[in-house]
Amino acid sequence: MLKISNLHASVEGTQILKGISLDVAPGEVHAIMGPNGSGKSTLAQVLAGHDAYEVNDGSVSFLDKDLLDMSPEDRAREGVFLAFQYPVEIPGVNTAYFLRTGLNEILKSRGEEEMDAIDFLQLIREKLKLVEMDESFLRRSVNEGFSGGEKKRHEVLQMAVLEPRLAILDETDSGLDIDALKVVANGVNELRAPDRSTVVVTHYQRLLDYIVPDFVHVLLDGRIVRSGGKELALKLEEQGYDWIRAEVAGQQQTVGV
Amino acid sequence: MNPESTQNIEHYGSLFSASEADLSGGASSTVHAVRQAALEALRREGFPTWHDEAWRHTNPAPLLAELYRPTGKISLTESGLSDWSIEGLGDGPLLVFVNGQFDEAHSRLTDVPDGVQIQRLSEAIANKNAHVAEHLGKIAQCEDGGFAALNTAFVDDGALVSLDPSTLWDVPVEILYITRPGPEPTLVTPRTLVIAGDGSQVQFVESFVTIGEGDHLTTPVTEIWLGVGAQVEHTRLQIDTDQGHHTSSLFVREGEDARFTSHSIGLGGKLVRNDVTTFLAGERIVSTLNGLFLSRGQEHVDNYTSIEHAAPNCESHELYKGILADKSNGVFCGKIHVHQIAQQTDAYQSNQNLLIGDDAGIMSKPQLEIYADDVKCSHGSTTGELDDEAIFYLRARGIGEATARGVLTRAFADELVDCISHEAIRSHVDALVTLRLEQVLKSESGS
Repeated sequence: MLKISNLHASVEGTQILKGISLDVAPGEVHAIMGPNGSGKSTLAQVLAGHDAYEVNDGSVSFLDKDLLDMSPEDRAREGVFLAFQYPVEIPGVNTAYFLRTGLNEILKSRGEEEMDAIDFLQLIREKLKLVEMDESFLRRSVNEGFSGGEKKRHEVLQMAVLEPRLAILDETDSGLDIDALKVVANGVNELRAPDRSTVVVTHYQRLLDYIVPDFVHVLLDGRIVRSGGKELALKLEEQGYDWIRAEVAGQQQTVGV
Repeated sequence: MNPESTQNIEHYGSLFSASEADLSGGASSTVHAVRQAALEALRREGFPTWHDEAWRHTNPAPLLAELYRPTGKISLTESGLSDWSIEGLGDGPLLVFVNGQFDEAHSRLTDVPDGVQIQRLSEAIANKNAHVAEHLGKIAQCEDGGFAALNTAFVDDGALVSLDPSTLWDVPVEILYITRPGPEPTLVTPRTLVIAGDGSQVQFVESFVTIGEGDHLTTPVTEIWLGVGAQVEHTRLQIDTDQGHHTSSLFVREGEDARFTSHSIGLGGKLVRNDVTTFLAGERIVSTLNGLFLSRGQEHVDNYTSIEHAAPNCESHELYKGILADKSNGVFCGKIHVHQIAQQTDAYQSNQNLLIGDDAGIMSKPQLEIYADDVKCSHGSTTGELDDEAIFYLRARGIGEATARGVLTRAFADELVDCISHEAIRSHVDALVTLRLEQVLKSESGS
C-alpha cells in the first residue's frame, strides 16, 4: 500500500527527516512514536503534501504510484487522508457543504456519480453516529468554535465520509480527555478494513491501548531507529525515550559514526 | 479653482440655464430655490480635487475630464431589464428610471397600505408635497459643492417613499435606476427621498445598473429621514461597466430610538466613490453601515463614510469588506465623530480586505474624533490574502486548489451578504455576487 524509501525532508532550511523507510501493507496499523521534535508531524504533513516542506531525497509510492509527484488534492482523491493535529477553523464555510464538496470531488475523480444534498444528508447521518456528533455541527462553519474533542471527532467523521485507503492520524489524541479519546478511537476502529491501512502518529502510548497497532516504530531525530510490536509501545511508556537514545548513541559509537 | 473645475462649472451652469424651465415644478417652486442654492454652492466651492483631504486617495480628475450631459428620455426595450428587478419581493412597488426619466412601461405602481406613499418625485414636486418642501435638499449637504450639489441643482424626477407615523410595512420597495450611456458622455442624476415617520418601518432597495457601453457619470443622491423610533433597512446595489464613473451620496438623519441599516454592494465600475453621511440626532439609536465591493482590472473603489454621534447612548456598527483582484485599488475612510455630549457611545468599525491580485492595493483609514470621555470606540482593519492553512485543509480533502480559493473567497463575501435580512433581496444579491466573483476570479487566473 505505502512504501516510503529513504525519505528526507526539510523546512525553512532545517533538515527534519533524515532517511525514513517504511512499508505499510493493506489492513495494517502502524504506530509512529517519538519525542517532540523527532519529525513525527513532519512525516504526516509531507505525506499529505504540505508545501512548507521540501523533500530533498528519497521516494514514496502509494498503491504503486509516485505520491510525491501528486498535488494534495490528488493524494486525497487517490485515497490518502490526514487527520490534522490542529484542524484549522474556516469561518463562513459551512461544514456540510465542505464535506459534500470534498466527497464529490473524490467521487468525480473516480468516475463515480456525485451526491446531491439529500443523499449526502442520509449518508452523513449514519456517519455522525460513529463519532457521537449531532446534526447541529453540520450547520456550523468548519471547526469554528469546536472544542478540542469536537475538532478531533470531526476529523474522524471526515474519514468516515471519505473512506480513504490510507489514514494518517497526526497526534489525534493530543489535548483529549479519556472519554473523547475513546470516542475517537472507537471511530477509527470501526473504520478498520482489510484494504485500509492506518498510520497513527502519537507521543503517548495511551491511544494505542484503544487503537492496537500491528507495528510500532520509534522516530528519533528524523530517523526510524527501532521497530517492533505493541510491546515496544508499552516499554516506551514505562521507560520513556532515553533508553532508545542511549542505545542509538551506543550503536553510533560502535560504528564510529 | 483649477481649470477643469471652472470649465465643468461653466458647462453645468449653461446646462442649468438651458433646462431649468423644464425641470419639475418650474422656476417658481420652492424646490427651484433648492436647486439654485446648490448651483450657487457648486459655483462657489467647485468640484473636489485631490488636494482635498476627503479625496486624497481618489483623484477626481477623471470625473471632470469630460463634459457630461443628460440624454433625455430613452426607452429601453431590452428584455434583460427583468434581470435587474428582484424576484420574490412580494407585491411591492417597482419604480424604474432610465437616465433619470421614469419608465412607466417597466414600473409597477401597486396598491400600498394606508399610511404609505410611493410617488415619483416629479409628481410630488408638482403637487407641492409637504415632505419634499420640508426635507428635499435639507438632509443632503450641498454647501461644499461637489457631486451632491451637482445632482441637487438638476433635481427633476426620482423616487419619494414616505410613511406616516406608526405605519409598519414589511414589503420592500424596489427602485431601479438604469444608466444607458448615449453616444456622448452621459450624465445621470438619480434622486431618492425617504421619509419614515415616527414609529414607522420600511425596507427599500436601490439598484444602480449600467446597461450598454459608453462614457458616463452616474451621480445619485439619496436622502433618508428617520423619525423617533423609525426603522429603515436600505440595500444599495451598484453595478457598472469598466467605463463607468459613479459618485454616490447617501445622507441619513436618524431620530431618537431609530434603527437604521444600510448595505452597500459594489460590483463594478472604473471609478466608484460612495459617500455615506449619517447623523445620529437623538438618544438610543442603533445605526449599521455594511459595505462589500469586488473589484478587478484597474478599477478604483472609494468608500467614504461619516458617522456622527450627536447624542448620548447610541450604537453604531460598521463592517466594510473588499475583494480586490488584478491591479485594482480600494480606499476606505471611516470617520466617526463623537460629540462631547455623546456619552455612552458604542461605536464599532471593521474594515477587512482580501487581496487576490498581486498588484491590488487598499488604503484603509479610520478617522476617529472623540470628544466625549465615557465611550467605547473600537476599530480594526485587516488586509491580507487567503489563509494558506485553510487552503491546504480543503485540498487535503480532495478539493482542487482553484475551487478551494473560490470557496474561501465566497465565504469572505458571504459574511456581508448574510447581513441582509430580507430573504429575496439576499438571494438576489447573492446571485449577483456569485456572478461577479466568477468574473473577478477568472480575470485573476488570466483567462
